[in-house]
Amino acid sequence: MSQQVSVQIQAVLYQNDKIELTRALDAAKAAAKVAWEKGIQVSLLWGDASPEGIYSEEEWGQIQRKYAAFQKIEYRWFGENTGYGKGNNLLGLNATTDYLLVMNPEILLSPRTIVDLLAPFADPQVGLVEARQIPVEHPKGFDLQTKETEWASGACFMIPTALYQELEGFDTETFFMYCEDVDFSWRVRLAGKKLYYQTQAGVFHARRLSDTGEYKPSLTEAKYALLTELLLSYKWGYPEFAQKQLQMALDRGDFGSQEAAEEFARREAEGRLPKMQDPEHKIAKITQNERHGGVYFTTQRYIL
Amino acid sequence: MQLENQERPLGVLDQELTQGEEERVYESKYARIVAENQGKSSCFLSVVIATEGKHPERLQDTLLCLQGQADQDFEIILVIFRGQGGNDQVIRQMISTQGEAFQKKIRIAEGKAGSRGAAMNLGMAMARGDYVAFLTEDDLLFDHWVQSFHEGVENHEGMILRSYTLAQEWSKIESKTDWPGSTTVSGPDASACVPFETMGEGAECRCIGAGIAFPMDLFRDRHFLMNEGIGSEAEVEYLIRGRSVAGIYETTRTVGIRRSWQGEAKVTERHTEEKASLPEGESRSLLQKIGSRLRGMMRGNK
Repeated sequence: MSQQVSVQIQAVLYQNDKIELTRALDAAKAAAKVAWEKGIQVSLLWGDASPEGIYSEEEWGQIQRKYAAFQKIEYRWFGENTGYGKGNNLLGLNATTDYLLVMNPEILLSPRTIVDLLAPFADPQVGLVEARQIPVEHPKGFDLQTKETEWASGACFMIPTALYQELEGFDTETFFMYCEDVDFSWRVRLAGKKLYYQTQAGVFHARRLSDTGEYKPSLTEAKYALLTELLLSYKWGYPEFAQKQLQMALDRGDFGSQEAAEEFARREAEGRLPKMQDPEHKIAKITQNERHGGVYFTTQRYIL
Repeated sequence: MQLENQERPLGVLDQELTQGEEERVYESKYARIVAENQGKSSCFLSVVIATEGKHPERLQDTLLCLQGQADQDFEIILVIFRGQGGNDQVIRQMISTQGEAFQKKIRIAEGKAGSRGAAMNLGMAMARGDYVAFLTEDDLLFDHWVQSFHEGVENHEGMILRSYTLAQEWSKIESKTDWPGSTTVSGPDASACVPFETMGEGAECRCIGAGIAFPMDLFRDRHFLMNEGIGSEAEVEYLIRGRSVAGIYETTRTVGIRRSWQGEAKVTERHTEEKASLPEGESRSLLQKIGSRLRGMMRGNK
């Protein structure tokens, strides 16, 4: 790793609690200090997609003074609800740093996260490095020897800025929320790069499990998940699967299934379905558990 | 008519114990430390982490979970015991890299406790909170762990608080650096996420750890100590004794995960031949052993 490597930490805010954001800033600052000792320059850029800006100019001025450890710390209110993908594109497509650390705003980095996420890029074939989430680790599979994984969660990952810009960031025409990280991961792989799951880099993501050990998606996730899974399936060469998923959801009366069906049909009629990628399925592997209907984009070590 | 010792209810045994050996140990080892910490800024929960410092990467995970707590009304007392080969320096260096505000919550005690039980007692002596919970570097916490206890204490002040914790097997992933990675091996086990009274005999053996918060009154006022001569049984004993006088309130919230490691003994097992989580038959023998020991303490034998 050469000296003076630069990283932009970026996140899209949406009506986040300021106390949570302060904790995230504290953690990011600690990580930036460890990185700085290794010759890594870290800047932070937050985009706010909230209806009204979370921070006033005065408040952000105080934050800039308090977190002066960053090379640069900047806040932009978008003035629109951009969603995750578009918001990150607004932050990342004009970035000038060597790397982007894309994360959810409430994620807490450990002091070593930046350094540990950068390390795998010593291999030029690595295109994206994903952090390990705690307390609930994602159960998707990865190769224990090579650490390669088939897709990376958008909760926290690092990517060379040049690659992000070459791919033109997230597909915001197709996805507003959820599955854009899967789509982006597969596009990184389609570009000939590997995804690396960095088991050393733990980050805190406030998720909980139930008293039966299961993960219960929020209503928002449930509402958007079906449509985005349909679009993802269609885009990555599984059109029949998409139709089958939709019919199963309608038959079960799944929450949001009617809206998803109508939106999918509307896009189809208007010619706005995404262009199909990877028709030979060299990258995308989509399966569904027949028993409980869960859709998976990689092997799962276990079910949550 | 005076009953034989083994016929007395446990609460009565506890009264007599405080007049004997345990009281002497409290006065000689901990009373001064308690006095030094009285009047200092207090909080709801004192989190005591007793560690040998062998796995800083795991401890980092636990600390990160504490950083992520929605309720920040807690302090951390990190007791490094049996520090070997510079483990304590590694831990101190790791703590120094944490966020500034979070570092202020942490006090470190090292080199003064030779056993896990002694480390926990030292942690309680240093504690400034109303309640105490004991963590290890195997514990991962959901963001409402402190909150569940804090809300549970309303209308149940002075009672032991119990929340549910899951169990999950993890695996160490070797790396080219001195900082190993880790990953889950299997999904979480929720078998302990049931009401205490439904767990039957040996329930205490399965309920120690992050899911329990003890009122500090047990230590400060009743001078209940962890048994320093044994390993994981100390926590089980403490829960049995504490329960008999304070009762248990169950929040029924699932608040965290205790990790076990593929190919390794549980951290609470490493200092004892007995196991903390046992099938029913083995739990019975452990409880019998604890009961016998408590009665032996009363007769002046350890």
